[in-house]
Amino acid sequence: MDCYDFCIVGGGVIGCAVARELTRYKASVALVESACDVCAGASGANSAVVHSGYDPVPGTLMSKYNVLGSSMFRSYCAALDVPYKLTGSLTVATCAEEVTALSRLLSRGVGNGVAGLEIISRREALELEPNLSDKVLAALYAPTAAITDPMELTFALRENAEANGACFRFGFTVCAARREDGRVILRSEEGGELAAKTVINCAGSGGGDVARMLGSLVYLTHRGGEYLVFDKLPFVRRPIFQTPGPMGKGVLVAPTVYGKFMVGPTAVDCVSSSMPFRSEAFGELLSAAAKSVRGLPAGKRIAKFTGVRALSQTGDFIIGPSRRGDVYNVIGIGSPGLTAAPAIASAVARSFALERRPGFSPSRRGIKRMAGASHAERAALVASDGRYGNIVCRCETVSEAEIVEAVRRGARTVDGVKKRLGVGMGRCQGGFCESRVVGILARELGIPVSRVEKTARGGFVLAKEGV
Amino acid sequence: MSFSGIIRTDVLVIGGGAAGLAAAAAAADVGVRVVLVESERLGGILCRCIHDGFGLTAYGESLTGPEYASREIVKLEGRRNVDIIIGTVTSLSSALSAEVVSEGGCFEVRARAVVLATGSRERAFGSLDIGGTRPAGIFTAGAAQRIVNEDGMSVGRRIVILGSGDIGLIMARRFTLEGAKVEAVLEIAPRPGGLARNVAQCLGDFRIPLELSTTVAEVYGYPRIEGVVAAKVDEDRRIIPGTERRIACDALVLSVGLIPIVNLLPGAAVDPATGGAEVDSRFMTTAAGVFSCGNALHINDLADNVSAEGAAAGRSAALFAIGRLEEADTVTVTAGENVASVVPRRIAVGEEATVWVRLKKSLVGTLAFRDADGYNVKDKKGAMAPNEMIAVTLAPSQTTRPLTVSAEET
Repeated sequence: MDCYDFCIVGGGVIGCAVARELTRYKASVALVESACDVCAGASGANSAVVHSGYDPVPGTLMSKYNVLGSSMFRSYCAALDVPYKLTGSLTVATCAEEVTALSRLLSRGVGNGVAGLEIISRREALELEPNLSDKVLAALYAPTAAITDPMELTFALRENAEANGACFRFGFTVCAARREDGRVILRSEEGGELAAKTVINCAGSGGGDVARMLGSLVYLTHRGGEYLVFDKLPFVRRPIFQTPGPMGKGVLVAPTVYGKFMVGPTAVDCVSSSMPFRSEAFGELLSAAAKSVRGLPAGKRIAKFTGVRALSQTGDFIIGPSRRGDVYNVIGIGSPGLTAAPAIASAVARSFALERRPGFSPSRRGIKRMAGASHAERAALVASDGRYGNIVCRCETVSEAEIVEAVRRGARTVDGVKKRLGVGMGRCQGGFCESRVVGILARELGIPVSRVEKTARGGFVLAKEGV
Repeated sequence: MSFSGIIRTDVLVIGGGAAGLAAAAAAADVGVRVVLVESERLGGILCRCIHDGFGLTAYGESLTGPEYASREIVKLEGRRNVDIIIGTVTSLSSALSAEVVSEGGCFEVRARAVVLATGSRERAFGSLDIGGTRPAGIFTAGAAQRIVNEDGMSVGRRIVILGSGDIGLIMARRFTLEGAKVEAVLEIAPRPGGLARNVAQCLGDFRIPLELSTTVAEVYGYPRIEGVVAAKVDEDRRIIPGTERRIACDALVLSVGLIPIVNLLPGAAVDPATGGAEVDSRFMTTAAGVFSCGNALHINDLADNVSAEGAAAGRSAALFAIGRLEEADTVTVTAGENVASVVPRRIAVGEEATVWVRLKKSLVGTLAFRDADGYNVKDKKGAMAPNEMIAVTLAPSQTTRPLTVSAEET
């Protein structure tokens, strides 16, 4: 049986970031993940916002890691070749009570150490965001907020961790644990075993289950958020939040780094780690968004998704060693978990006081992309590999060469390609390209076309040949 | 073949389906240089339409899509003034310069006129108000058609089709012939979306149930679809509580509308009624030298009509390229009562012009073209429905004043 110094459970953004941080040190690192790829859960289904940090309660882990993470994010993304766009954010108030609440948020933000916060008038807010609703009275402007691509970040972290020696095992659903000779032995539903001196639980929505298997009596609740995605349109320039109320942060309207924008999330308590999109959510989201913006182009909607986050009962992140010391929990990471990820990972890795490893390389280069490249760059790419000239996804301008490279870097399903390259995320939603992607996946993976899966194990895109 | 740098031509045709093939042939007939860029294979969507019914108007016989395509492709063969490139146009400037990406290289095409024959895309699952899971096994009808007819694969064994557009109806028959069971075709409107002949020949003849005023409220099952929750809707297309019922299936196929592809249109006006470019009777958009035809312009019922439009647009583009398309004053054509859309929106004064009209509702009565004084310059009488596009040809004497088209019930 393989034995590692550290075994991380869970391949979301937190798990991958922790794995990468640990490879800075002299230690052997493994990461186990139940899905066939990283980024299978909430890391691929969130608002993609780097929060400034005015919202978390001072003194909490959330506030500490949010503000720290936010300050680290730009250089983190630069090293990993991940999109990051410093947009700032607006939090709008639509009634007198909310205007008062903005002042409280401002002083909370200042207390948390957030720089540059200011309350601006309706007129100033409209100059920044012309599509604000008529109800907006004032706004809290947070210049340090940004947007990113959380999926690309998670894949980048995996690639960089692997390049630095971490071992990733997929299809490993932890179902039991035992202790032997000072090691923790994890067993998977699929039948494998893996031993580690320390287990780091980053299992996201499964974090409570894994914690209890390892002896910590932790229970998490689950909250689902539904989102709508709209086609490329300069409708908003920065994330627009609503004044947080007792029901949560409200619905935001936020651009993506690729020029689309989204509306969400709802906040629905749910029991399972995957939640269906409720039919009533369409209306709820549109009317909630109408509080912040006007003229939402309903006809430009192209997609919808849900993300489920695991929340602790304390309302804060759970980060720290268990009583036995061989398990370290990093769970209950709801919002602002993405923003906090770099800071959490760094703190977790440093807490083990390990010796630095000289060969660590912090940088990773993304797949060379046709989209966004200049004519000369495109010509050079096609000259280097003719498959760059075979445009498979017309909506997002993605070529065969990029898909082949995504598979080489770990994409195993249609969604694995989609999350890495945006293939099928455009306005045709894969209508033109899905079957071509299936063909390329089958060829590159050496499997029959009928065995290519959409998202998860057993979710075959096509029925078998013939009926 | 390897390309680089700049290719100069008189006419650039973007898209090698029914519209683009006809446009290229017609432009070549004028004697100008033509470059046609097709992203996958000549014939476009025709290649996957293995049913018959193509060519009834153009050739006087019933052909399959591939047969029809080959007749159109032959017209381009051996022409010295036509170059065909398999590649993707990624951008088009208002100066009529296009970037083309192909496996042979990445280059620029500079043209004097451009015909956009880029076809349409299908409305996708993500844009519909259907809740539930996001499983594998949901396809648009055109994608399913490609998988079954071109790739020789199957999408499922028990299939529910949402929407009764023509492709959905044709695929209902196709799935049945392939041995799958089509559990139902559900249509949210109180009437079928496709042509009457397709409802009869594709559903009726195979006893496939068509349920009108019915939609899919939710899908269930994960990671592969296990079924849908179907529900009746009221006149405002709201689900009527209590009418929900589960239909087990392993594939959901959507035939809920086509949308013209206009993303290459360089800053020209789009008609919200059709989703395509706003054109005049010569098929020129509001961007000088840029022409549009076929499903990129408005959604057609018949490929024969697409070819006719393509030929007209191609000829106009060729004449424009050599400075022989004389500028003309235009009169407007406006959609009036019961009319959903009208193409073209502007007609060259004193020229013969065909006008395509789509109605908002079914009716028996008169489609009338009236001038500002209410004088009826041209009309067409009979039973008319939104699922059958109406073509009316106006004589030169009838295109001298602004007109409003209305469908008047009798």
